[in-house]
Amino acid sequence: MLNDIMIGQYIEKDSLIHNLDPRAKILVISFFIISIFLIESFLGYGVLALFILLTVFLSRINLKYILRSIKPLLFIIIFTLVIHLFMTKGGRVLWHWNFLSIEEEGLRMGSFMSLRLIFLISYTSLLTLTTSPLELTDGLERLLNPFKRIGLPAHELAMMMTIALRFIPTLLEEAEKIMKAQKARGADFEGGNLIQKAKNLIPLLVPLFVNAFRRADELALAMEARCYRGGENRTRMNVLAFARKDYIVTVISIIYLSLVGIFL
Amino acid sequence: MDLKKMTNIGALSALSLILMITIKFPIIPTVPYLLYEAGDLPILIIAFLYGPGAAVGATLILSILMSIFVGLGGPFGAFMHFLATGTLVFVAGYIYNHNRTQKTAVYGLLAASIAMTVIMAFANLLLTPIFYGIPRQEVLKVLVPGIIPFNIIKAFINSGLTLLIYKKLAGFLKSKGLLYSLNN
Repeated sequence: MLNDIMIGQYIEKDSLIHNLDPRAKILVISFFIISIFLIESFLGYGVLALFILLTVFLSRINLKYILRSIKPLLFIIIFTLVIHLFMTKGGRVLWHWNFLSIEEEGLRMGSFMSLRLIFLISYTSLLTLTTSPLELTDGLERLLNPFKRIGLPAHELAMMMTIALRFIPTLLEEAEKIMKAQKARGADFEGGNLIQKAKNLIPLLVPLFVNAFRRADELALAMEARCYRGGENRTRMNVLAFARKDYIVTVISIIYLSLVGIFL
Repeated sequence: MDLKKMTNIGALSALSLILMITIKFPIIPTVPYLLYEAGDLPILIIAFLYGPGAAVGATLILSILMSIFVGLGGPFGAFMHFLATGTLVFVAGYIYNHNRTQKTAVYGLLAASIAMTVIMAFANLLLTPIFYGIPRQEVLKVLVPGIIPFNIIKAFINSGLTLLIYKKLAGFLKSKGLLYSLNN
């Protein structure tokens, strides 16, 4: 089941994209998402595809890793395509059989929307492929820092995210163990009606919660023993610094994405 | 922020993600692609223990993890998840933390389930056409037979399970000093 999710998919390499400041990457991605909504033509998507391919080339990540990240969302992509193919009407009739027909507009919208999803997923997966989780949470924390003034606990949020990330593999393994143990005792997680199904989950859920609380307790103790006392005055081994190349890449990308978004 | 609170919220957020991928099944035959998942349970427990703010924070963490670290639902899915779970846990946590009794827990969850269903009905109508380009009439067609009953049933199952689990955990949580009184 661990294969279904892609934690730790970070691939260590020495490339321009890898060495960028995580904040620069998050900013560019935000603009990428905005421009993907603004683009209205296939030409725009072509120009956007060039941008993605250039990033992939610069990151020296094998294209197959990016294709692999699309797999978990393949269902929703195909679903979107099929809905449009058969439901969106307009233009010439391309194919029909009994009550089913595919019209030009359906094919156009279907491929447009699936392309949008594919682009979005491949570009966001580039972020996790080229940035280690630690750098990412660090970058998020620094980006959220200005909101501290309105009471947003930036450091705590980033720390909790790191803790959650660290616990996912451990707790997943435990969940599978408990599932097997309860099945061996005759628990049934598949049969029955809805209420029965929900009730059957209790013997699985209670030990999972107890486990999670226990793990959290141990971690709190370990952190306390190492004198953790929050974000104030905390020093870091690697301090993020926005270098000249970060400014250049961010500014060029934002200009490019804005132009594509506005004009195409 | 108290360190124990931080590690608890972190671990429960991780548990939420795990429940999302391990426990899921379709509820309504007409919309088999809408899957029930038990991911809201740990966040509801956070809402009960630490209040609505902490629970919305946990939802935010979860959505970020979903969208960038884990290939679950992609950025759109993560945003919708934030809206749905965020509403649910905020309302439930807000009402329950005003006056911690079993009665307010039930009322809180009931109000939260209704609030989530209403928000998700509007969110699907407004955002699905923008995100997936699916025409609004098509969304409207599955709204009453699919989306609304799905959300209300999902929220009710999660509410019921939360009440049962919270009660079962009460003794354990008290021994950990996380829960001082359960007035029921």
